[in-house]
Amino acid sequence: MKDFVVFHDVCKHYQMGTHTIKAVDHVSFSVDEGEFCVIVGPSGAGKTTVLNLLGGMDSCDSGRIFLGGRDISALSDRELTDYRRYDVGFVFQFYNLVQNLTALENVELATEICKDAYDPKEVLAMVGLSDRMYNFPAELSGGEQQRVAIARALAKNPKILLCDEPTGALDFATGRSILKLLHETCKKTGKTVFVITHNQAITRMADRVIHLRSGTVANMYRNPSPEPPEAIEW
Amino acid sequence: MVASRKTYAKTLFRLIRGNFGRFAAIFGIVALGVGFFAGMLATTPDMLASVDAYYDSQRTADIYVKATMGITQEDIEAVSAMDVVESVMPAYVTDVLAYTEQEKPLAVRVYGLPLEDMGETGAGTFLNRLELVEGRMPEAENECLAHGLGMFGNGIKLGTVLTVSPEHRSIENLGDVYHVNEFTVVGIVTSPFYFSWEREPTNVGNGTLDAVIYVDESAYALDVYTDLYLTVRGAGDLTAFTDEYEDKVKEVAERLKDLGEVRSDIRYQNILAEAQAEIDKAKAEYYDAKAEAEAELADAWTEIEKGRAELEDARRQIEEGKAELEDAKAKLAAEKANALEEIERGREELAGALSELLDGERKLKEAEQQLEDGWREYRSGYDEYREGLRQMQEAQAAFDQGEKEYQKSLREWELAGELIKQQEEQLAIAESHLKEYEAQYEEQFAEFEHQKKQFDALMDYVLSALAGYGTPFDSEEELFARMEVDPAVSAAVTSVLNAVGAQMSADDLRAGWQEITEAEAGLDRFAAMIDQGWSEWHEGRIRLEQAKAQHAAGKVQLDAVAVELEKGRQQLAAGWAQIYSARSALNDAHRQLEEGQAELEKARRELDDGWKEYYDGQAKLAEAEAKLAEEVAKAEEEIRSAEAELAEAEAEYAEGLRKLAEGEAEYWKAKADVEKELADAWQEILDAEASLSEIARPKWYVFDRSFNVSYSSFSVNAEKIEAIAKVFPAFFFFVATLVALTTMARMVEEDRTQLGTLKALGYSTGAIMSRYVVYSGLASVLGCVVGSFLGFKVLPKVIWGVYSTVYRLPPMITDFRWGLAALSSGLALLCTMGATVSACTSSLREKPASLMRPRPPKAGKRVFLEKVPVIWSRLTFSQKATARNLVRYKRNFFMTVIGIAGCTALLVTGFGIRDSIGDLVTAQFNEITKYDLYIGLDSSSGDDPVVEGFLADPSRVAGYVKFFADSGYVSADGERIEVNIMVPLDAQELPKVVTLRDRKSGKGISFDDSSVVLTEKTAANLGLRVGDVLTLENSDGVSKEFVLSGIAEYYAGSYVFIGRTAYAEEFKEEPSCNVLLVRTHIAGKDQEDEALSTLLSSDAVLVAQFMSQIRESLDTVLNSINMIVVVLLVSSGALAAIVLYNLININIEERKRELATLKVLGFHGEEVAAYIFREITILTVIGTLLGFVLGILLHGFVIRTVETPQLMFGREVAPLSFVMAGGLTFAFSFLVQVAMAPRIWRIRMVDSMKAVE
Repeated sequence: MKDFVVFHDVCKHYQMGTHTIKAVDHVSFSVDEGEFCVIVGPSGAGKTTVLNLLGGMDSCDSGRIFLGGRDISALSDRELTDYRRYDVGFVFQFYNLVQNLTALENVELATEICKDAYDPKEVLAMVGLSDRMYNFPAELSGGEQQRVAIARALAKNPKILLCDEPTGALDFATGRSILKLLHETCKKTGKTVFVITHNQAITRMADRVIHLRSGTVANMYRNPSPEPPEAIEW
Repeated sequence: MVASRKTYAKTLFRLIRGNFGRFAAIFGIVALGVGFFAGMLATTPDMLASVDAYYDSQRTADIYVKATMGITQEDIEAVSAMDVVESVMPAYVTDVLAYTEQEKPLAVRVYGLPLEDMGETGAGTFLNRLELVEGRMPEAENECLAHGLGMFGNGIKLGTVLTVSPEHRSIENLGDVYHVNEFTVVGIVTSPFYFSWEREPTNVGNGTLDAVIYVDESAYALDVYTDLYLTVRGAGDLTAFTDEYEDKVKEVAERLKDLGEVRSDIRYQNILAEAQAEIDKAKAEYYDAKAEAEAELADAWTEIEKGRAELEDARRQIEEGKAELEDAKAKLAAEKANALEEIERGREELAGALSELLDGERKLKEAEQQLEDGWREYRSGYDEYREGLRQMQEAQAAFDQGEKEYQKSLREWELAGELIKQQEEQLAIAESHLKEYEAQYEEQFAEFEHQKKQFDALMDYVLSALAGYGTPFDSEEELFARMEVDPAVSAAVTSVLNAVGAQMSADDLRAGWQEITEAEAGLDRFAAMIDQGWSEWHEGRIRLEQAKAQHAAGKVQLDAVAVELEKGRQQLAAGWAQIYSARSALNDAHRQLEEGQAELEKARRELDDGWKEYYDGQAKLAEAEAKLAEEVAKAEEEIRSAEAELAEAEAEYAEGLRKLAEGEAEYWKAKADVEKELADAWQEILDAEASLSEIARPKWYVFDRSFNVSYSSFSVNAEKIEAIAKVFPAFFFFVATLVALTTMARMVEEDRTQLGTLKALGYSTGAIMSRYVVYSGLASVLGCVVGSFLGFKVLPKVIWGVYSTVYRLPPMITDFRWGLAALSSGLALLCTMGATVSACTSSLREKPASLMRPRPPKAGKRVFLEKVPVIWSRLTFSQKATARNLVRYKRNFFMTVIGIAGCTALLVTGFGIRDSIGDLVTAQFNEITKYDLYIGLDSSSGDDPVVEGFLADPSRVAGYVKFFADSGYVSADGERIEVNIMVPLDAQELPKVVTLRDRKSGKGISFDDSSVVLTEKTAANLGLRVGDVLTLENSDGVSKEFVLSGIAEYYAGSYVFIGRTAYAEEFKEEPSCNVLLVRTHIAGKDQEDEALSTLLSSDAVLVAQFMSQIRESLDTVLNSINMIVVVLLVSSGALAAIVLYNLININIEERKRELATLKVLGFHGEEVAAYIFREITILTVIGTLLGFVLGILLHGFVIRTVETPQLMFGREVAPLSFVMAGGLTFAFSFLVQVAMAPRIWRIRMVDSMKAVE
């Protein structure tokens, strides 16, 4: 589907005392279904705000946001919760696993509340953790924890996968393997994947690249020839 | 350094502000603990001090002395002279029965006091100062003050008049005691002597005092005081109830007892001397009386003689009266007959008038009937007239219409005649015109004929000429037609013509021919026109003839109509004449009828007047009759009264005669009596002289305040609180420690990085730690201040309030007790500081480098439940997480479980105390003691008729058992406990009034003549078991050993039941009946009082008491317990709230990130909240269950503390109390969760993206 995710003239302002911060200022872009999209920009460019808006964690002041043709900028809090529940898979920089649950249980915690979720064990096998699924997060390495997090996001069978600096807390090699996993997932399952990062290097593997600067879209383009993740270095 | 101090203060302030919830939690639990501890400990001293202050302000006597033979002025002086005695006040005190407006008498204690000396609070010589709460002080000796609060004063209010009843077993003559027998209540007072709701015993009425009144001492007629009140020098400075005070007073009391011995001797001698004096006085009186009696007898005889003469006079007067009466009777009869005759006449006249009136009525009725008929006829005639008139009007209208139509037709006919005439004229004109046209035609035709003939000739020539030329033509038309096409022809013609000489061409010829032809046609048309005109004329002629005929016929018709009309006009005139005559006839009839009506009304009026007269006459007659009856009655009454007077006089006369006879008899009897009395009196005097030696020796009884019901019961109750005070707050301190520990540990955990930094910068462990110590210390100190302040001020007042239901208490004095405040605050600070230090040290022991790294997350722990996959796989993630969390956070677990357990335990205790006392009431009074009435008898008095009579009354008594009762002591292993000894005279009878059973098994204990059964509480106190040997000491001080054969459930009192044989064998004394336990049919206060009054009227009855009185006072205690339950409820609620608030607070802080993540993952608010609250709920369940166990223990402790050696409470907590305690705990937990839920909802999802701290 073309124009699967659409930002149309979206603004989000924050009031800081007497000062208004335009976190996102008239941002417009659109992404097709199944694309591997990288949103890149320096700190304060509005990446997190875009992520929050796209992830249904916040609502915009003006403009429209569509996902698969549905206007999500006009949803109530309750509807936003359901949106996050059924349509969005979220991968955090710091994994955000529940320490008190095993890898498998962490995945189950997400699938438990979904309608047509994948089998948690299969998903864990897919991310290469079939023999570590009964371990607690504290017993796993950072990369493994992030794989659990990806499995948790994926198992919900969401429409989009939002990854906030997924490699931020990982070393280069592990980070690259995570990117590879995300890329493979994108291509294998046909899910639209957003990677939000400040790392310019990652743009080289993207189907679509959105450059943000000071709350505006500085540049947006389709990458005619994405490189495989293995080729990327930083 | 200054700057750093400032920074330090600033960071500390920031620390508090940033962690206010924790600060509040530590503050709250410390305040609760300190408040409870300090407050409970302060309560007893506060209570005692308040009452002591009250005692001092009212100058309450420390000691009072009662002397059996009264206290003399010399006695008072002797007591006053003692150096240990501060001030002395004598008083008269007597207990009597007194009547109010109510039916039954009240048992009243009457104090005779020097009321004018009352003075101000805290000063003066008046002891046991009264406080006036209503009304005024008495101003006359028949006015009194009444004790108006508490158990006394029922039905007594201002203005109540108390009449002292003469029925009193120890007072023979009221006048010897009181000057006044009626007292009016003018003021209501309170006294420090009676502030307990418990009633004082007395020996009058139903055995308890109903009222206490105070009168001025001048109302007493006694020559000696009965009581002496005194204060002990220096005792006022000591606090009442303390050992120092009691020892000091006891010492003085002993000295007073010694003095009493001495004074009693003196008193005895005085009484003896007085008695001798009295005997001497009696002798003198005897001689006086003898002389007086003889003189009186002589006087009496004279009187008798005088009476006899008077009676003779009276008899004569009676005879005269009788004659007068007969005359009056005869006169009355004659007058009455006359009057009756007159009335009869009047009645006959009235009867005649009545028949006339009735006749008149009848005639009037007939006339009315006739008039009515006339009217009816008139109305029908009038209706007929109206009908005729209507018909006439209709006929007239029809006729007028007909005439109008005739006139119209006539006019139309005339118009038609005119028209005919006009047409005739037109026809004539037309005829003349036509004739004129015919003439013209004839003329024109002739001319044409001529021209035609000439032309035809020419033509014939031409034609023939032509025919000669070889061109014959049949007709002119042929020729002319040929000419048109053949000019040769034309030429030929012309030539012919010319030949003829006709100056004309062929064309001219043709033109001529055409002219002729045209003229011929024109003539033909003219002729046709004329023919047409003639035919039209003929038609018009015919039509005219027809019209003429019609016109003539119309005339004939019109004439006929005119004749008809004339005939109708005549008929109408005749009709109208008839109508007019009918109307005048009707008018005549109407007038006549109205005249008749007027006559009739006149007749009616006359008749009515007649009736009025008749009734007037009748009324007058009745009046006359009534008057007659009245006069007759009056006269008869007079006669009767005269007769009565006469009869009375006769009776009086007879009475006089009888009295005279009596008087004479009396005189003779009196004479004999006087002689006998004098002899008796002399004998008495001789007896009195003999009995001087038998006068009882006086005795002083010395009482200190412990004999005062109010003082002793208040003292016991106040001290019980102190015992409870020591155990309750332990919980709070324990929980405070845990709260501080968990809170500070969490705080240190959060500041980990900062700690590492500080440590790396070279700060010492102590310096870093001081921050937290100061933080929690500040919270604790604030908590101590607020807690001790509230504890000292609030808690004693609440408990004071509880006791106010059974005592009338003065305003409470709550002191801030520095010692207690320091003690409780010190304990609290020790707990929280210790916890803080221990929480800090474990973290600070780490190296700075490891501190600066986030603490590696604790690995989740597996719980045993995972080994049961059947259950585990069914759990949702949050249930699994909860299961693991419970095991993982042990400190939180213990803090919460213990806090909740404490909450539940407090509630169980509170409700349990209620149950226990309820058990006591139900088990003791419904199951164990089956008698309702206790009667103590004077065993020496033998069978008493009053008691026998009472017991024999089957409507009141269902059954009774005779006992020998004694008081004594049981001892075992050195312990000695006071006990009531009960020996049933028939062991088989015992179960009728008392159930002896084992409490635990409920099985009965068999009792026979050799059994020895002890009540449970006493046995437990002495550590005795069945089969053990106990030593029993009776009131004579004889000790004997017995083998215990049973231990019986018993709550109120300490008893040993001994079989008759066993007792008799050991004590060598045959038990005799001195106590009756009675089962009665008596119900209700009134019946009970009646029964008690009956019994107490007997000298043999020492005590009589219904069990319902005891029950009633226990019910009051039960109500006051509810207040304690409320205190426990509030404090347990606060405890639960603080603990749960703290736990939720910590949990939310600790799991903020997890909660935010769950929100991002799309968990709904309630699902997120459940993640936290499920844990709370499970902890609440565990805590509640533990609380039940603790509650049972705590309840047992409290009950044992509150019990007295004489009283045992129920030991069981009812199931309902557990339900309520658990339910309330859950309610508290639920409320805290509801209050905290918004905290969870407010967590921002952005927090999930923050770096791990």
